[in-house]
Amino acid sequence: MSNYLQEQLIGEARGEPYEGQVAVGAVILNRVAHSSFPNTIAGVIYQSGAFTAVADGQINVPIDPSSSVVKAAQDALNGWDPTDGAIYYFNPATATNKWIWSRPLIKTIGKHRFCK
Amino acid sequence: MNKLKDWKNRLKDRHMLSVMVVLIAIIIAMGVWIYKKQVDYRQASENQYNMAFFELVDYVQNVETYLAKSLISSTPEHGAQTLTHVWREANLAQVYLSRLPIESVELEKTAKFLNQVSDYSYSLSRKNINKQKLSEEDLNNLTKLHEYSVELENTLNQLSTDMNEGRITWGELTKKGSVAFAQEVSNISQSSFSNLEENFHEYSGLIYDGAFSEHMTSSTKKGLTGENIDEEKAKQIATKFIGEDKVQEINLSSKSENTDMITYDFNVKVNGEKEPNLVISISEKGGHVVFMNYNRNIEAESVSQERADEIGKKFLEDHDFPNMKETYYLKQDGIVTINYAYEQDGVTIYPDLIKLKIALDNGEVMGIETTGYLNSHEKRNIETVQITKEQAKQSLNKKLEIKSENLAIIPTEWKTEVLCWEFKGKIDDTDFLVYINSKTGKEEDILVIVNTPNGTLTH
Repeated sequence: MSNYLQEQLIGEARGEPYEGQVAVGAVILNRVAHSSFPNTIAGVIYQSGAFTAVADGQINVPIDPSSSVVKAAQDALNGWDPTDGAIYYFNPATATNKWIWSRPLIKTIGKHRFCK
Repeated sequence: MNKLKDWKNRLKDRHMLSVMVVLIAIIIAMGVWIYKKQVDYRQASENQYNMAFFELVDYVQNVETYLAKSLISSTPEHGAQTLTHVWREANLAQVYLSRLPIESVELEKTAKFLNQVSDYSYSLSRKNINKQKLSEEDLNNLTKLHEYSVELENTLNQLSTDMNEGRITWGELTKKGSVAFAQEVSNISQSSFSNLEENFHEYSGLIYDGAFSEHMTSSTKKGLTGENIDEEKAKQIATKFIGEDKVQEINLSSKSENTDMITYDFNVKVNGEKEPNLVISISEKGGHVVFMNYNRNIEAESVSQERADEIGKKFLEDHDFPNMKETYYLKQDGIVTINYAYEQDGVTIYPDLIKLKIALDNGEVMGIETTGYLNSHEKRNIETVQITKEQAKQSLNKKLEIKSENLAIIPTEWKTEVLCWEFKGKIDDTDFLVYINSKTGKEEDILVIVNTPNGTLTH
């Protein structure tokens, strides 16, 4: 279970501060619990168009066990959620989808905006 | 110049010409091979999409049928059976929906509908299993859900006709590469799938947003007491919480918005560190510590679990969280995460949950998470027990070797709380926690304790 999450964090949150990595993990877990999304981590991650790291194959990059994403994934699984229940996030510099801007912003962590 | 001539001559040489011909033939063959491979891949993924789509159609059809049946079920037993079918079929429909190559945002409401049908039918089936009849309101909700499912079914049937007659093919879309693909798909979803979404305009948030869905955000924050504070005060609270001697630098990173627990978030540079790698969130209302997380390298372990328990308990007492009892711990990479539940008059109150992260190299508290506590903590009126401990024991499996017994308040799926007898025990080699309702004697929950080398329940 935490493997998927680590892979996902590598692709989506590499180069982000540690907290940004935990936050991305928390969003995925918030989606699992949320009624609008699939009920499993794999379901959420591989949902079409949900995450760019899946679309471009970065999710399959091998993980260095000492990488901070390993710890970040654990923190997220243990319930640390810096986003206060966010279910969307995006990088305002690269986001192409206009719709995403309509989501109410909760807070910004690193380069990502975390939204309801 | 000579060289060029030489080369020209060699090309004229028949031998060389045949080499070129062979090379070109190989290149053509490879091209054909790659093209064929690509066609295969495209076909394979198209098949996957088709399968997912037609599975979805079937499952939605079943949801519709079983919802219709649930409306006319006259006995709780039969109702429970039908609703369990709805639950299952809706769940599977959702799985296949998420496999379609369509942006998740385009289908958000459809996914939500299926998920809520699934959750709602599950909760009603539990009601039926407890021999309760469905209320007028339940039946009205089911009727509405059924109407939507009919509309969804019709839209999907239209789409599947279009697909069968070749008006929509996934393959056409995938051929154009991923960027064009995404655009094409959103065009498609505008024309065809948007009907599907439109049907849910009225529905969204109309009926059921209860027990299971969106449970993360509880609307009443019982433990979030006190007056609003400003940034300066929040900074003081944060600094004091971390320890003034440890804070080298503290800066506001953001103030959250659009949430029912607004927080001031700070980035903190801890003494001796090169960059800020501790974050802490303080609630605007009441100045409670919601969250703290410090990330640093952990040296060799030298702190025992018992010592970590003591450190954690002392830490909570020192920071105005008295009467917390540890219930669970998990060790990972030199860090132990300990769960604490509030204890009132000897009753363990599980909803009031606080988690601590303690480093096992020097016993430093590296993180805290208090959302559960802030959501639910208040002074409980603990009702008098109507089933004695001995009576409750009667209903337990005789093979259960009881190790401890205790009163506990546990959260239910309906966001309520229930006072139970908690029995911790063992059957064969598996540890269980059994919860017996202290009022009705009903078995409320059974938890299996997964004993890993890294984590266990503590009592």
